[in-house]
Amino acid sequence: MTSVPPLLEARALARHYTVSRGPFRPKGVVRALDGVSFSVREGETLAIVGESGCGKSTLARQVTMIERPTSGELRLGGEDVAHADRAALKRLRPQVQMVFQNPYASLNPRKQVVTLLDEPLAINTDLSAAARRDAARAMMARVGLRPEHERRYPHMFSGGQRQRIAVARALMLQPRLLVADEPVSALDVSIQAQVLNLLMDLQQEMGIAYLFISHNLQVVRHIAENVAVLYLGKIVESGPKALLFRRPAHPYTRALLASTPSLRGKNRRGTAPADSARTSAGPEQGENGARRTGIVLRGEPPSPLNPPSGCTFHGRCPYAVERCLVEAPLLEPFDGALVACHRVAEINA
Amino acid sequence: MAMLEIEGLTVEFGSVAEPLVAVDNVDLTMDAGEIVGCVGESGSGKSVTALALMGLVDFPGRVRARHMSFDGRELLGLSDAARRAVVGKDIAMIFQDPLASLNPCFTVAYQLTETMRVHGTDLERRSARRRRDRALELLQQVEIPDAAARLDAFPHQLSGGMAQRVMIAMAIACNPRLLIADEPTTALDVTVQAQVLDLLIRLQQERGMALLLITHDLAVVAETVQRVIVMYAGQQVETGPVPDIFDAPEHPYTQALLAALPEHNLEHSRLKAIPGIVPGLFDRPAGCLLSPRCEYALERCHREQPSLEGRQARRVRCHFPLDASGRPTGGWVAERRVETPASAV
Repeated sequence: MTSVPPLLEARALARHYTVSRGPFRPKGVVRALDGVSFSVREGETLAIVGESGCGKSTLARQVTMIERPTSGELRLGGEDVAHADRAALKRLRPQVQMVFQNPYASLNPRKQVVTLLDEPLAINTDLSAAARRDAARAMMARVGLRPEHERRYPHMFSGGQRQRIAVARALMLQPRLLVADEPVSALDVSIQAQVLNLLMDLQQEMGIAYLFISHNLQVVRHIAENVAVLYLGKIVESGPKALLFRRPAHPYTRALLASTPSLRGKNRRGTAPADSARTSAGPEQGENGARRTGIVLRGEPPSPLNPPSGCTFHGRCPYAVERCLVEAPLLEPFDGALVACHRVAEINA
Repeated sequence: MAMLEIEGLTVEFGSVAEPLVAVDNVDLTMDAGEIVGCVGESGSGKSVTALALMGLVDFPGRVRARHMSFDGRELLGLSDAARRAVVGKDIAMIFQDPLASLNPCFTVAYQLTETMRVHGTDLERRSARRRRDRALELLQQVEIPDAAARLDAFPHQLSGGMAQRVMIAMAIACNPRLLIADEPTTALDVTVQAQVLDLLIRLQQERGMALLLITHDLAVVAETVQRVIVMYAGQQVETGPVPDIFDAPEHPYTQALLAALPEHNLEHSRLKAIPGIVPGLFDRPAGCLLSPRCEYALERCHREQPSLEGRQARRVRCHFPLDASGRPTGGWVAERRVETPASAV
């Protein structure tokens, strides 16, 4: 083990929200994030995968210091974030920046591109206006925007270009960590590839770490080094990408992989699978291996307001036994990954 | 004769002098019980094609076609009343966002039975009890858990997947012969998407109805449909049976779209992105619409718009369709040599 602390480290991080369930009824508690532990090293990409309502975006709000976690530890470069005071937060926040899902909503329609890029510097640095403008122009070139774009407004750009602006804005303060919350899911396939390429190029040039939040496993498979699968506010499996895609251990991970549509996937019409031995296709084991062990889930994720007892996945899990109903499994090492499942050894035998 | 025959469907918006062409000369034939996919990026005209077919394109939009018939019956020029007898009964549609498509003020049962009140059998039109029984039956068919309790639920009490199942139940209430599903799973999570797709296929097979699946997701198309239409900027660029079109795309756009998927770039760190953006209604290029983004585009592509050529099953709109190894044909090498002598080897 090296003595250098990871860039970001979360231990048993939790964020609960109290919600009103109507007049005269007791307040409910949503355990949006319930004891999550992970770490991100400098220049590395950790992908957080899960369905809607699993706590992905809540996690992003904790990491970007928009909210304070209810309990648990969150350290950025060794410094405690969860209990930091205002001055410390002011110093720490520029190190973590965020790119949001919908570039149509996340850019102020009344500001020109150059103003949008200038704003983070104007607030957080002592740079002169001229220096800020130069930095903004340099960043525009870096993300592939042309100089004549600087006086334009967000509505004059396509979705892909807007996401480039959003990325540029996030990088103005040279953060160490970029939190990307579904950055390409609002974009078309051909544009999605452009933005993913841009993100990967920038990571190589600037050595930024990414916390990449997505529901699209194909995208995650491309961009991430490590993957954590979230279900109802808990990590059910985490590990290196290659391992997770080759040998998903948790039943939920398997189901996610099996439900992800694939060009080489089985045909739902029940006829012989299309033999698409395309030349550019990757190694065979990955997708197909996952599909063979795959299970199709019934039902939908339960409400986080009223999560099931024991293992929260037991209602949809084909392997659930008595024990899963009463006892919540812990995230424990299994064959190079961390898996939270009582029966992981049996299932993967 | 095919069940659905559309020839030269064109939908325009804007002024007559300078029309904005949303759908440009689209041909579509579907046989009974066939699953056809329509795939394209946003703005490619796939939804407008379906809306025009349903007669849902409103006033400023103009729908023209050489021929548009369903079951031998001409749909164009049909009076509104006559069209209503077909649409919603023989042709039904499911929309992308189920929670936006359901009326928040009425219960599931009310909205389900509404179709039957208008289009149902004699018995269904007369008896409210019969309609309610049938609504329950439909909810069970689309595998909604605890269906009896869901009948009196309001849309906000349903999850996205459940709401989409209700939409499907509504669509199949009158045993349609053709079901149009416009991005039916885009708003859903992957595990739910898999369930809904399986449900659609099961219903399609049990009832022998035709299914037109409109989507932007090539992988969904690869897993579900028999024949696919690839659309780009309002035009059909390629049609063909499914395994073939993915194994050996003939149009550079189909090839590029497939190559841009992360799934096809497992060994590469970079994705093969398509440069540029889909042209909007206002900035359609001259010549081939793909020419500014096409890696094979030559001078002729920028000047002259190709037509949709080929056999009935496999058609492509390209001057230089690609061969099985993915290289352009049709004298591309020779023409390129003329244009760029320096780079010719």
